[in-house]
Parts: sequence; structure tokens; C-alpha cells
Amino acid sequence: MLGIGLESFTVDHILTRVPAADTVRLQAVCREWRAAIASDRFVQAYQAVRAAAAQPPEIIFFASAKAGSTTFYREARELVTVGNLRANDVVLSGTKPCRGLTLLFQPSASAYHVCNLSAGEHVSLHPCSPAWRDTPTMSPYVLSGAGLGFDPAANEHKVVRLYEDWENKQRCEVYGLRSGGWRPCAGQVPPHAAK
Amino acid sequence: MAAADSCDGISTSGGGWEKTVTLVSSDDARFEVREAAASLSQTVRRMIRAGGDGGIPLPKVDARTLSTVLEYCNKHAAVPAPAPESSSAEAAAVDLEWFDKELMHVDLATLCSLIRAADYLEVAGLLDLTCKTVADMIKSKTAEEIRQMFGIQNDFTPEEEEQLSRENAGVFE
Repeated sequence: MLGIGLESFTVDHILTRVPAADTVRLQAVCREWRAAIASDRFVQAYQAVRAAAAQPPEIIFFASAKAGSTTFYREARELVTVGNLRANDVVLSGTKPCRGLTLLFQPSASAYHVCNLSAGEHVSLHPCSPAWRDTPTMSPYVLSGAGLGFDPAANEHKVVRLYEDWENKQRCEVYGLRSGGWRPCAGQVPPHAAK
Repeated sequence: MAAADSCDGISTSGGGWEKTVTLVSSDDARFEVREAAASLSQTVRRMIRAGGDGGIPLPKVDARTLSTVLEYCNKHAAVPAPAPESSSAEAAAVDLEWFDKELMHVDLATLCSLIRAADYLEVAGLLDLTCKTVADMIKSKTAEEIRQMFGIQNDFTPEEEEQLSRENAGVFE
């Protein structure tokens, strides 16, 4: 079927109603679609449509039947099971995903995972150097904090981690999900940033 | 409302008096519609307020598309019958859903005309319905299948395509 001729507003309207996981593939259709999907206008429209359709995102998780893994649920619907993650000390970085992705942290293993709760997929980030514990004997608290953000310039999600190392030095590391691997951030970390 | 009176008639239906308005398509077909139904279009609603003689001109919508839009509006603006027996709200919702589904049994070109019309006329419910229908059609298709559906030229260079396929392998490799 040729020459239907979709105007850009039509493309926007349609693409904002396609599940997020599928829009990645749709970027390959043509330049216009790619530009539309990459634009901030699209992201905003997408969020508006999703917000209108969304239920409050109550996410709960349990240790799953498979030892050492954790399963996440929303309204009794299984979202994703993350292996290599024990449910007893999982930290979710907020319930609102950042462009579809949610950051998980396991302090005891100093391990980070990023998952797409809608698409049921996850990645485990490369191991990172553990943070200092205030009271080293089995304390669940570590001097560390992390956040997930999207960098439009690099077109990738990044995890930023602030922590205090074994020598009580404040450190900051950045992990690009596309590029992979932790690297120290440029410049000095302000003192007590990780407290 | 005096403005509306100048371009409409008054008709009786279901025992009550109902105001109607006349809509004129791009190809000069005239449609007489209940004002309640026509007012599902924010564009028409504004034009009714603004007033005018000889019907409301809709130069961006042809007769065939407009008649489908009005079918939608008439159904969705249907006066909720004063419940004889048990025609509950639930049954009405099921009926409406079935109606919507049937209405969307059209080809892609027609769907796109409807999206354009729903956008221009600002019929939010119809816009959502048509866009969701097309989104469902394309969500599981490959880029090439979508290009064929819409007659879109692939305007990427081979290098860009390679980069795209790398990116699409993406975050969750």
C-alpha cells in the first residue's frame, strides 16, 4: 500500500501508543520516525499518554522459587525475575522509572542491576568496588548512594554512584549502559557527598 | 443559543426535543447531526459557539470520513436510556466496546484519514481509538514491513543502518 502519507502529528500520535520496548525497533523505519522517537516532544507526549493510562505503580518483590533470585510484581502480575539478587536487601531507586528503566541496588553484594519492569528485562552492571561500611560487622548500611538518569547527548542511560571507599575517600563513578563499565567522574567529589 | 439556531433545525427523537446542527464536508455533503453528538468534536463545539449561517464548514474532512466520525459521535453521545429493565452501565460499556471494535475494521488508509479527521475535529476518544488500532498493527512488525505498509522510503545510508542495528541490539543484549 503506497502513498498513505503520514504527517508528523499522525506519526507522533501513533508512536506514543506503541509499547516502549517496540519503539526502539521502530526507530529504524526512516529518518523522520527516528527523529520523532528521539525528540523530547515525543518523550513528553509519551509520558502524558502513559500517565493517563497508568495505574499507581505499586511494585512489590519477593524472593523467587529459584534460590538467590528476586521477582518483581505489579498488581499480582509478574514483571521480571532478577537472578543473582537476594530479596532481603534490595533497594529500588524510586518507583518512577527513568525512561522505562529502574535501578536496583544490593548493598551486601555491592551489585547494581537495571531493569525494564514493563518489558520484563534486566541487566546486571559490571562489578564495582564496594563501599565502606560504617560498622563493618554485617551492617546492612553502606556509605553509598546511586541514581539512574538519561543523557540525551550520549543517548544512553547512566548510573551515577557516590560512595566512600575503604580509605574514607569520597568517590564518584559513572556507568553508561551502552558503553558499559564504571569510570570515575571528572573532577573532585565534594567532601561528604556520600554521607 | 441564537448562534446555533441560525444553522440548525429542531427535531424530535425519543420523545424529547433535540437540537441539531448541520456539518458540511470538504466535498459539500451536508450532515444533520444532534448537537450533543457533534459537540464531541471540540472544533465543532467552538464553531457552534461562534455561530454562522448555512451549516458548519469542515474543509479538511471528506464526506466518507465524516460519516464514520459521526457514526462514532452518535454512538458515544447516545442519550443514556432511562433504563428499562436492567440495561446496566456494564452492558452499555460492553456494547460500546464492541461498536468501537467493529468501527475499526477498515483498511489502513481509512484509519489514517480517521486519525487526521479526529485530530482536526478534536474528538479525543476517536483519536485514541484509531491511533491505538494502528499502534497495535505496527508494534510487532519489522521496520521493513512498516515501510511497506505506509509506503515510506528507507532514507538511511548503509552506514546509518549498521549503526542502528547495533543500537537496537542495545541495552539488553
